[in-house]
Amino acid sequence: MRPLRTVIIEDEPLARDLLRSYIALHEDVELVGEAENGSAGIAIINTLRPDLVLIDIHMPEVSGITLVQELTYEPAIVFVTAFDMHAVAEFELGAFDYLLKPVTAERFATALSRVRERFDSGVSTPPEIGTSMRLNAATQGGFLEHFFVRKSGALILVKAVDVVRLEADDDYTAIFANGQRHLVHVALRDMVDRLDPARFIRVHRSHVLNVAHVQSSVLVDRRLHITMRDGSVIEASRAGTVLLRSRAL
Amino acid sequence: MGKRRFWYLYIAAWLPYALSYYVLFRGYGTEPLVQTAYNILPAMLAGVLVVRWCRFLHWKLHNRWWFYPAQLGSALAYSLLWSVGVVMLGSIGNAMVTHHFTFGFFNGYALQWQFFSGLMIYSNIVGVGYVFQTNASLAIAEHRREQAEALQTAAQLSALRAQLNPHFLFNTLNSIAALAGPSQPQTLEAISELAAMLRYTLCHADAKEEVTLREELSFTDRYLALEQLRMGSRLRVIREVQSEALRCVLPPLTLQPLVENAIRHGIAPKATGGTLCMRACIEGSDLLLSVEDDGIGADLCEVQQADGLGLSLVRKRLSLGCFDTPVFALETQPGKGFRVAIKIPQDSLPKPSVLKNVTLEEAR
Repeated sequence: MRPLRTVIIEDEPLARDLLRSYIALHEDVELVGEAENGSAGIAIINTLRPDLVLIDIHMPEVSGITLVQELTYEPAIVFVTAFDMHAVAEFELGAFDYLLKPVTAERFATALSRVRERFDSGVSTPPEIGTSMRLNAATQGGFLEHFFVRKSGALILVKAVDVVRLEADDDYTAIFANGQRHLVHVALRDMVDRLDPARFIRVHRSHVLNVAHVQSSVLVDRRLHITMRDGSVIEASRAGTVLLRSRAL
Repeated sequence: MGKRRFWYLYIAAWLPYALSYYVLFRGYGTEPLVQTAYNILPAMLAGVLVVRWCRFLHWKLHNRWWFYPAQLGSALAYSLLWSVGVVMLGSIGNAMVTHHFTFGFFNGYALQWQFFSGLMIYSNIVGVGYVFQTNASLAIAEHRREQAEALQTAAQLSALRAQLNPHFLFNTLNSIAALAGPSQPQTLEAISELAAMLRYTLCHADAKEEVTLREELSFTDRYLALEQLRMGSRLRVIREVQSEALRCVLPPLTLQPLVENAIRHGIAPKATGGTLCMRACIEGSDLLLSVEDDGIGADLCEVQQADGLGLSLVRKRLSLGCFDTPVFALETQPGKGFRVAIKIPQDSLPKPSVLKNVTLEEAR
């Protein structure tokens, strides 16, 4: 097994120490370079062409995000961040791997195994789901036109028009599209703001439907039971029923 | 006190005294009503001056050496004023009826008696006046203290937020983890638990949000793991959580403060420690949550009056949150543990999101 040639880009020395010590725990990872700021990072990545880059988001002058957008070459990326309330949801929406500080050995190993899985599958990432595409889609705000999901190591793009419905599953959201169920690690409550209300309606605390995929609905005990095109039946809450009827569905 | 209310009270206070005079004069048989008026009216009017005088000679001055001598002097003056008033009024009244002015007559015994009751009346008025004064200043002091406390809490919170920038906080924890190094798995574990707790509180500070019981429980478990580090076997925990209840929603930071309360006020002060019991189940369309300990307990009245920060915080979060009428119940007795139960209705959409959708609807 070829080791993952890895580069650390992080401005804090102790944080570099920690990542280095975790890398040392994994035999299949080889540390080939380090940089302590964004511009040095761009140079080192373009020269060394590593397989994996661990990048801190907050660095002086050139942030981790800017750095990634300016790369001419596409390594696997694991973002490292201290605290960004929105960043986490955005990373998940963009199907990025990331580590939260303080980084634990366990989380490091999990992130690494994901990268490894994708690396070993040998499937090259199509450009429409490339890093900068996903970064734009996830971090630019606005309504989501695409969902990026992971399926056994590979990345899949799901178009919002194809999404039949979304269902809350604790702090995950299940996306039902094209006869498949994809799990995204973003709570539905954190996603609803990014869903186009012309297309999606929240009919229940844990259910969002795509209006275009509704087949029929019946009123049972003051609640609408909605049958979707994929055959699933969703029971709206009372408030959801009122909302749906106001849209004449 | 309102002006009108003052006068009502003031006149009412004089009525029994006037009545006793009336009864007394009826014994003598000569115009008891007029006689009473002659006697009481000057006392009453001069009493108003005493009330004024009280405000001037405020109770807060009572530690000065001249306070009591001044009071004695004014008591004598009042009594004298009253006596003169009675005599004057009596003479004028008499003159109006008989068209013949004679300046009073002095009955040594009556005058002496009147003089001492004058002193008594004076001290009554002054006493009552000072009671009102003290009450008022106590209420003002209380109000000021409450305001100061609120300000202090706000200041503390903003200081915490300003100084402990989350970025700084988590980067520092990361540095500490690096200093501990991978050979210290327990330290790293504790650091990451603490970090996860802090992240949760920072991310879910908004009570209008909602989280699942699973999330709130895992936050509470992290807190318990850290408490267990401190208390060891003194803290025993029982969890009875229905698995279906885990998907119920509640405002964030409602369960953990109750657990923290139970440990801080119930179990930690007890040398032998105690057992904490968290229960969660679904009843109808409600989530029932309870936190119970067998610690030192408390007096229920005191708890309800004092309402420690934890309890009032939870109550506030529940009322701020978008949950219809959550029910909150307390049960405790000194020495008999403490139990808090909450009922959180589940059957509705989160309100903010509904509103948002509706306004978007209308905007288009």
